[in-house]
Amino acid sequence: MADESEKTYASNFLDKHPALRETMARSKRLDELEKKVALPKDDESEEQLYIVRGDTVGDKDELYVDALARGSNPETKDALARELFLETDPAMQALIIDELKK
Amino acid sequence: MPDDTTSQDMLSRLKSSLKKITIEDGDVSEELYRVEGDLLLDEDQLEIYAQQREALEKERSLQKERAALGAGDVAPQEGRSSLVGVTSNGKLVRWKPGLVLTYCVLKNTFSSTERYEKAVAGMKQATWAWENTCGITFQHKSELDNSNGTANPGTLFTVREIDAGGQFIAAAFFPNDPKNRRRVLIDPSYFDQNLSFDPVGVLRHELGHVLGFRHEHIRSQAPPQCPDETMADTLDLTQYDPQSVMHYFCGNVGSRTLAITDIDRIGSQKLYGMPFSSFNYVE
Repeated sequence: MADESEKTYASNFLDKHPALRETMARSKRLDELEKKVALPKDDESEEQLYIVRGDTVGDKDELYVDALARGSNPETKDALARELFLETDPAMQALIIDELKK
Repeated sequence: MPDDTTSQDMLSRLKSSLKKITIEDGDVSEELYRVEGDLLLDEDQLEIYAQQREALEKERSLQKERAALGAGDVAPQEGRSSLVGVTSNGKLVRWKPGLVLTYCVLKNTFSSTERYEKAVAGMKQATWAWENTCGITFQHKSELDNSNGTANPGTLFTVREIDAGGQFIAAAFFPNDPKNRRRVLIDPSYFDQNLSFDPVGVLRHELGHVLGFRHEHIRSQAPPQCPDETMADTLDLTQYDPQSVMHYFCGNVGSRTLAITDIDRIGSQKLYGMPFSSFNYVE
Protein backbone atom coordinates (compact mmCIF):
# COMPACT_ATOMS: atom_id res chain seq x y z
CA MET A 1 0.00 0.00 0.00
CA ALA A 2 1.28 3.44 -0.85
CA ASP A 3 2.58 5.65 1.90
CA GLU A 4 -0.04 8.17 3.08
CA SER A 5 2.10 11.11 1.94
CA GLU A 6 2.52 9.63 -1.56
CA LYS A 7 -1.18 9.15 -2.12
CA THR A 8 -3.17 11.70 -4.04
CA TYR A 9 -5.70 13.91 -2.33
CA ALA A 10 -8.45 11.96 -4.11
CA SER A 11 -7.28 8.57 -2.78
CA ASN A 12 -6.94 9.92 0.75
CA PHE A 13 -10.40 11.48 0.51
CA LEU A 14 -12.01 8.23 -0.66
CA ASP A 15 -10.15 6.17 1.94
CA LYS A 16 -11.43 8.51 4.61
CA HIS A 17 -15.01 7.98 3.42
CA PRO A 18 -15.56 4.26 2.69
CA ALA A 19 -19.23 4.86 1.85
CA LEU A 20 -18.13 6.91 -1.13
CA ARG A 21 -15.68 4.19 -2.19
CA GLU A 22 -18.54 1.70 -2.12
CA THR A 23 -20.73 3.96 -4.26
CA MET A 24 -17.80 4.41 -6.62
CA ALA A 25 -17.28 0.64 -6.93
CA ARG A 26 -20.95 0.08 -7.78
CA SER A 27 -21.33 2.96 -10.21
CA LYS A 28 -22.16 2.08 -13.80
CA ARG A 29 -21.98 5.75 -14.70
CA LEU A 30 -18.35 5.83 -13.66
CA ASP A 31 -17.69 3.03 -16.17
CA GLU A 32 -19.23 5.28 -18.81
CA LEU A 33 -17.06 8.21 -17.78
CA GLU A 34 -13.95 6.04 -17.76
CA LYS A 35 -14.56 4.96 -21.33
CA LYS A 36 -15.07 8.55 -22.38
CA VAL A 37 -11.86 10.00 -20.94
CA ALA A 38 -9.41 7.07 -20.83
CA LEU A 39 -5.99 7.95 -22.16
CA PRO A 40 -4.60 5.55 -24.79
CA LYS A 41 -1.93 3.25 -23.35
CA ASP A 42 1.33 2.35 -25.08
CA ASP A 43 1.23 -1.14 -23.60
CA GLU A 44 -0.98 -3.21 -21.33
CA SER A 45 1.38 -3.02 -18.35
CA GLU A 46 0.99 0.73 -18.17
CA GLU A 47 -1.27 2.26 -15.49
CA GLN A 48 -4.63 3.31 -16.91
CA LEU A 49 -4.83 7.07 -16.71
CA TYR A 50 -7.63 9.49 -17.50
CA ILE A 51 -8.02 13.09 -18.51
CA VAL A 52 -9.10 14.95 -15.40
CA ARG A 53 -9.63 18.64 -14.69
CA GLY A 54 -9.79 19.32 -18.44
CA ASP A 55 -6.16 18.95 -19.42
CA THR A 56 -4.25 17.09 -16.74
CA VAL A 57 -3.88 13.41 -16.09
CA GLY A 58 -5.06 11.37 -13.14
CA ASP A 59 -6.01 7.87 -11.95
CA LYS A 60 -9.51 6.50 -11.35
CA ASP A 61 -9.78 8.00 -7.85
CA GLU A 62 -8.89 11.44 -9.18
CA LEU A 63 -11.33 11.03 -12.04
CA TYR A 64 -14.16 10.17 -9.66
CA VAL A 65 -13.43 12.87 -7.10
CA ASP A 66 -13.06 15.52 -9.80
CA ALA A 67 -16.40 14.46 -11.33
CA LEU A 68 -18.10 14.62 -7.92
CA ALA A 69 -16.80 18.15 -7.40
CA ARG A 70 -18.05 19.20 -10.83
CA GLY A 71 -21.36 17.41 -10.38
CA SER A 72 -22.00 19.14 -7.07
CA ASN A 73 -22.88 22.28 -9.03
CA PRO A 74 -26.60 21.98 -9.89
CA GLU A 75 -25.99 24.15 -12.96
CA THR A 76 -23.17 22.06 -14.37
CA LYS A 77 -23.39 21.21 -18.06
CA ASP A 78 -21.65 17.92 -17.34
CA ALA A 79 -24.70 15.63 -17.03
CA LEU A 80 -22.63 12.55 -16.26
CA ALA A 81 -20.80 14.28 -13.40
CA ARG A 82 -24.14 15.47 -12.04
CA GLU A 83 -25.53 11.92 -12.14
CA LEU A 84 -22.45 10.63 -10.33
CA PHE A 85 -22.96 13.24 -7.63
CA LEU A 86 -26.65 12.40 -7.29
CA GLU A 87 -25.83 8.70 -6.89
CA THR A 88 -24.21 9.50 -3.54
CA ASP A 89 -26.38 9.76 -0.42
CA PRO A 90 -27.36 13.20 0.95
CA ALA A 91 -24.82 13.12 3.78
CA MET A 92 -22.05 12.42 1.29
CA GLN A 93 -23.33 15.17 -1.00
CA ALA A 94 -23.01 17.66 1.83
CA LEU A 95 -19.52 16.39 2.56
CA ILE A 96 -18.48 16.70 -1.09
CA ILE A 97 -19.65 20.30 -1.23
CA ASP A 98 -17.98 21.05 2.06
CA GLU A 99 -14.63 19.37 1.41
CA LEU A 100 -14.12 19.57 -2.36
CA LYS A 101 -15.58 22.97 -3.09
CA LYS A 102 -14.36 24.95 -0.11
CA MET B 1 -6.02 39.83 -22.01
CA PRO B 2 -6.15 41.26 -25.51
CA ASP B 3 -7.72 39.64 -28.49
CA ASP B 4 -5.48 38.94 -31.49
CA THR B 5 -6.29 42.23 -33.23
CA THR B 6 -5.45 44.45 -30.30
CA SER B 7 -2.17 42.68 -29.61
CA GLN B 8 -1.26 43.04 -33.27
CA ASP B 9 -1.93 46.79 -32.95
CA MET B 10 0.29 46.94 -29.90
CA LEU B 11 2.96 44.96 -31.74
CA SER B 12 2.89 47.40 -34.67
CA ARG B 13 3.11 50.36 -32.30
CA LEU B 14 6.05 48.84 -30.47
CA LYS B 15 7.86 47.95 -33.68
CA SER B 16 7.59 51.50 -34.97
CA SER B 17 8.66 53.14 -31.72
CA LEU B 18 11.35 50.86 -30.27
CA LYS B 19 15.03 51.21 -30.99
CA LYS B 20 16.45 48.37 -33.08
CA ILE B 21 19.82 46.86 -32.37
CA THR B 22 21.71 44.62 -34.80
CA ILE B 23 23.76 41.82 -33.27
CA GLU B 24 26.49 40.40 -35.51
CA ASP B 25 27.63 36.83 -34.94
CA GLY B 26 30.07 35.77 -37.67
CA ASP B 27 28.18 35.78 -40.96
CA VAL B 28 24.82 35.92 -39.20
CA SER B 29 23.23 39.12 -38.06
CA GLU B 30 20.06 39.42 -36.00
CA GLU B 31 17.91 42.49 -35.46
CA LEU B 32 16.58 42.86 -31.93
CA TYR B 33 14.24 45.34 -30.28
CA ARG B 34 15.30 47.11 -27.09
CA VAL B 35 12.56 47.38 -24.46
CA GLU B 36 12.51 48.77 -20.94
CA GLY B 37 16.03 50.10 -21.33
CA ASP B 38 18.02 46.91 -21.36
CA LEU B 39 15.96 43.99 -22.62
CA LEU B 40 16.68 42.76 -26.15
CA LEU B 41 13.85 40.86 -27.79
CA ASP B 42 13.56 39.13 -31.16
CA GLU B 43 10.34 39.21 -33.21
CA ASP B 44 8.72 36.28 -31.39
CA GLN B 45 9.67 37.58 -27.99
CA LEU B 46 8.39 41.02 -28.89
CA GLU B 47 5.04 39.51 -29.83
CA ILE B 48 4.69 37.97 -26.37
CA TYR B 49 5.80 41.23 -24.78
CA ALA B 50 3.15 43.09 -26.83
CA GLN B 51 0.45 40.74 -25.56
CA GLN B 52 1.54 41.33 -21.97
CA ARG B 53 1.64 45.10 -22.42
CA GLU B 54 -1.79 45.04 -24.02
CA ALA B 55 -3.19 43.05 -21.07
CA LEU B 56 -1.76 45.49 -18.56
CA GLU B 57 -3.00 48.56 -20.44
CA LYS B 58 -6.46 47.08 -20.74
CA GLU B 59 -6.58 46.36 -17.00
CA ARG B 60 -5.41 49.89 -16.20
CA SER B 61 -8.05 51.36 -18.45
CA LEU B 62 -10.75 49.20 -16.84
CA GLN B 63 -9.61 50.37 -13.43
CA LYS B 64 -9.87 54.00 -14.47
CA GLU B 65 -13.38 53.37 -15.79
CA ARG B 66 -14.39 51.67 -12.55
CA ALA B 67 -12.92 54.52 -10.51
CA ALA B 68 -14.69 57.11 -12.69
CA LEU B 69 -17.97 55.30 -12.12
CA GLY B 70 -17.40 55.62 -8.39
CA ALA B 71 -16.84 51.92 -7.89
CA GLY B 72 -14.97 52.66 -4.71
CA ASP B 73 -11.37 52.03 -3.90
CA VAL B 74 -9.55 50.20 -6.63
CA ALA B 75 -6.33 48.46 -5.72
CA PRO B 76 -3.41 49.33 -7.99
CA GLN B 77 -2.99 46.59 -10.60
CA GLU B 78 0.71 46.23 -10.00
CA GLY B 79 -0.01 45.23 -6.42
CA ARG B 80 -2.28 42.35 -7.41
CA SER B 81 -1.20 38.86 -8.18
CA SER B 82 -3.05 35.88 -9.54
CA LEU B 83 -2.79 32.11 -10.04
CA VAL B 84 -3.97 29.20 -7.97
CA GLY B 85 -1.18 27.08 -6.53
CA VAL B 86 -1.21 23.35 -5.79
CA THR B 87 -0.70 22.41 -2.15
CA SER B 88 0.19 19.22 -0.33
CA ASN B 89 -0.14 18.89 3.44
CA GLY B 90 -0.97 22.58 3.57
CA LYS B 91 2.22 23.70 1.82
CA LEU B 92 2.61 25.07 -1.69
CA VAL B 93 4.08 22.63 -4.19
CA ARG B 94 6.96 23.78 -6.40
CA TRP B 95 10.09 22.36 -8.00
CA LYS B 96 13.19 22.34 -5.83
CA PRO B 97 15.25 25.56 -6.10
CA GLY B 98 18.01 25.23 -8.67
CA LEU B 99 16.44 22.25 -10.43
CA VAL B 100 16.68 22.55 -14.21
CA LEU B 101 13.49 21.24 -15.81
CA THR B 102 14.92 19.09 -18.59
CA TYR B 103 12.73 17.70 -21.35
CA CYS B 104 12.94 16.01 -24.70
CA VAL B 105 10.44 15.94 -27.55
CA LEU B 106 9.98 12.31 -28.58
CA LYS B 107 10.24 12.55 -32.34
CA ASN B 108 8.99 9.02 -33.07
CA THR B 109 5.62 9.78 -31.45
CA PHE B 110 4.85 12.56 -33.95
CA SER B 111 3.10 11.61 -37.14
CA SER B 112 5.33 13.90 -39.23
CA THR B 113 8.61 15.79 -39.00
CA GLU B 114 6.68 19.00 -39.52
CA ARG B 115 4.59 18.33 -36.38
CA TYR B 116 7.68 17.43 -34.37
CA GLU B 117 9.37 20.66 -35.47
CA LYS B 118 6.29 22.68 -34.58
CA ALA B 119 6.24 21.12 -31.10
CA VAL B 120 9.97 21.82 -30.62
CA ALA B 121 9.55 25.44 -31.71
CA GLY B 122 6.43 25.91 -29.58
CA MET B 123 8.14 24.50 -26.50
CA LYS B 124 11.13 26.78 -27.09
CA GLN B 125 8.92 29.86 -27.09
CA ALA B 126 6.71 28.73 -24.22
CA THR B 127 9.63 27.80 -21.95
CA TRP B 128 11.30 31.09 -22.84
CA ALA B 129 8.15 32.95 -21.79
CA TRP B 130 8.11 31.29 -18.34
CA GLU B 131 11.87 31.69 -17.88
CA ASN B 132 11.37 35.40 -18.41
CA THR B 133 8.45 35.49 -16.01
CA CYS B 134 9.81 33.79 -12.89
CA GLY B 135 12.90 32.06 -11.51
CA ILE B 136 12.78 28.78 -13.40
CA THR B 137 15.01 27.15 -16.02
CA PHE B 138 13.98 24.66 -18.70
CA GLN B 139 16.44 22.76 -20.86
CA HIS B 140 15.63 20.96 -24.10
CA LYS B 141 17.84 17.83 -24.31
CA SER B 142 17.46 17.58 -28.08
CA GLU B 143 20.04 14.79 -28.25
CA LEU B 144 17.40 12.54 -26.64
CA ASP B 145 14.61 13.45 -29.09
CA ASN B 146 15.44 10.47 -31.32
CA SER B 147 15.10 7.91 -28.51
CA ASN B 148 13.12 4.81 -29.36
CA GLY B 149 9.74 4.07 -27.85
CA THR B 150 7.81 6.28 -25.50
CA ALA B 151 9.71 5.74 -22.25
CA ASN B 152 11.45 8.73 -20.70
CA PRO B 153 15.10 8.49 -21.81
CA GLY B 154 16.42 10.50 -18.85
CA THR B 155 14.84 13.92 -18.70
CA LEU B 156 12.51 15.37 -16.08
CA PHE B 157 9.63 15.15 -18.53
CA THR B 158 8.88 14.25 -22.12
CA VAL B 159 6.78 15.92 -24.79
CA ARG B 160 4.93 13.63 -27.15
CA GLU B 161 2.02 13.39 -29.54
CA ILE B 162 -0.82 11.12 -28.46
CA ASP B 163 -4.14 10.63 -30.21
CA ALA B 164 -6.72 11.26 -27.49
CA GLY B 165 -9.47 11.81 -30.03
CA GLY B 166 -9.58 15.56 -29.39
CA GLN B 167 -10.43 15.24 -25.67
CA PHE B 168 -7.82 17.94 -25.17
CA ILE B 169 -5.51 20.04 -27.33
CA ALA B 170 -2.62 19.38 -24.97
CA ALA B 171 -2.35 18.03 -21.45
CA ALA B 172 0.22 18.16 -18.67
CA PHE B 173 1.04 17.22 -15.08
CA PHE B 174 1.75 18.82 -11.72
CA PRO B 175 5.12 18.78 -9.91
CA ASN B 176 3.80 16.42 -7.21
CA ASP B 177 2.27 13.92 -9.66
CA PRO B 178 3.87 10.47 -9.85
CA LYS B 179 6.95 10.40 -12.10
CA ASN B 180 5.26 8.26 -14.76
CA ARG B 181 2.83 11.11 -15.43
CA ARG B 182 5.51 13.64 -16.22
CA ARG B 183 4.56 14.10 -19.84
CA VAL B 184 3.28 16.99 -21.90
CA LEU B 185 0.81 15.35 -24.27
CA ILE B 186 -0.11 16.90 -27.58
CA ASP B 187 -3.25 15.74 -29.37
CA PRO B 188 -3.35 15.84 -33.21
CA SER B 189 -5.98 18.62 -32.90
CA TYR B 190 -3.11 20.91 -31.77
CA PHE B 191 -1.83 20.88 -35.35
CA ASP B 192 -5.18 21.77 -36.90
CA GLN B 193 -4.85 24.78 -39.21
CA ASN B 194 -8.10 26.09 -37.74
CA LEU B 195 -7.03 25.78 -34.11
CA SER B 196 -8.75 28.68 -32.37
CA PHE B 197 -6.00 29.14 -29.78
CA ASP B 198 -2.45 30.39 -30.15
CA PRO B 199 -0.51 27.08 -30.22
CA VAL B 200 2.38 28.57 -28.24
CA GLY B 201 -0.18 29.89 -25.77
CA VAL B 202 -1.53 26.36 -25.33
CA LEU B 203 1.97 25.23 -24.33
CA ARG B 204 2.42 28.25 -22.03
CA HIS B 205 -0.78 27.11 -20.30
CA GLU B 206 0.40 23.49 -20.03
CA LEU B 207 3.77 24.57 -18.66
CA GLY B 208 1.86 26.59 -16.07
CA HIS B 209 0.51 23.25 -14.78
CA VAL B 210 4.04 21.81 -14.90
CA LEU B 211 5.13 24.67 -12.64
CA GLY B 212 2.31 23.95 -10.20
CA PHE B 213 -0.52 26.26 -11.19
CA ARG B 214 -4.14 25.12 -11.30
CA HIS B 215 -6.83 26.58 -13.54
CA GLU B 216 -7.73 30.16 -12.79
CA HIS B 217 -11.38 29.68 -13.74
CA ILE B 218 -12.06 27.27 -10.87
CA ARG B 219 -12.40 30.19 -8.49
CA SER B 220 -15.81 31.25 -7.28
CA GLN B 221 -15.50 34.63 -9.05
CA ALA B 222 -15.21 32.99 -12.49
CA PRO B 223 -18.28 32.94 -14.75
CA PRO B 224 -20.62 30.04 -13.93
CA GLN B 225 -20.23 28.71 -17.49
CA CYS B 226 -16.60 27.81 -16.77
CA PRO B 227 -15.94 24.16 -15.86
CA ASP B 228 -15.84 23.34 -12.15
CA GLU B 229 -13.06 21.41 -10.47
CA THR B 230 -12.27 20.39 -6.95
CA MET B 231 -10.67 23.22 -5.00
CA ALA B 232 -9.12 20.86 -2.47
CA ASP B 233 -5.36 21.14 -2.10
CA THR B 234 -5.18 24.55 -3.73
CA LEU B 235 -4.13 27.94 -2.50
CA ASP B 236 -5.06 31.24 -4.11
CA LEU B 237 -1.84 33.09 -4.61
CA THR B 238 -4.23 36.05 -4.37
CA GLN B 239 -7.00 37.56 -6.46
CA TYR B 240 -8.89 36.20 -9.46
CA ASP B 241 -7.47 37.19 -12.87
CA PRO B 242 -9.89 36.58 -15.76
CA GLN B 243 -7.08 37.17 -18.26
CA SER B 244 -4.63 34.70 -16.70
CA VAL B 245 -2.72 32.27 -18.91
CA MET B 246 -4.29 29.59 -16.71
CA HIS B 247 -7.88 30.68 -17.48
CA TYR B 248 -9.93 28.77 -20.03
CA PHE B 249 -11.81 30.75 -22.64
CA CYS B 250 -15.25 30.43 -21.03
CA GLY B 251 -18.15 32.67 -20.06
CA ASN B 252 -16.85 35.39 -22.37
CA VAL B 253 -13.63 35.79 -20.42
CA GLY B 254 -10.16 34.38 -20.88
CA SER B 255 -8.14 34.68 -24.03
CA ARG B 256 -7.30 32.61 -27.04
CA THR B 257 -3.73 33.95 -27.03
CA LEU B 258 -3.07 32.52 -23.54
CA ALA B 259 -0.40 35.08 -22.86
CA ILE B 260 1.26 35.36 -19.46
CA THR B 261 -0.15 38.53 -17.95
CA ASP B 262 1.69 40.91 -15.66
CA ILE B 263 -0.61 39.65 -12.93
CA ASP B 264 0.49 36.06 -13.67
CA ARG B 265 4.06 37.27 -13.46
CA ILE B 266 3.56 38.60 -9.95
CA GLY B 267 1.72 35.44 -8.88
CA SER B 268 4.35 33.09 -10.30
CA GLN B 269 7.13 35.10 -8.68
CA LYS B 270 5.49 34.40 -5.33
CA LEU B 271 6.32 30.76 -5.95
CA TYR B 272 9.59 30.94 -7.90
CA GLY B 273 10.99 34.44 -7.42
CA MET B 274 12.18 36.79 -10.14
CA PRO B 275 13.54 35.45 -13.44
CA PHE B 276 17.23 34.58 -13.29
CA SER B 277 17.82 37.03 -16.15
CA SER B 278 16.91 39.87 -13.74
CA PHE B 279 20.14 39.48 -11.81
CA ASN B 280 23.77 40.37 -12.31
CA TYR B 281 25.55 37.42 -10.75
CA VAL B 282 28.81 38.16 -8.96
CA GLU B 283 31.35 35.40 -8.22
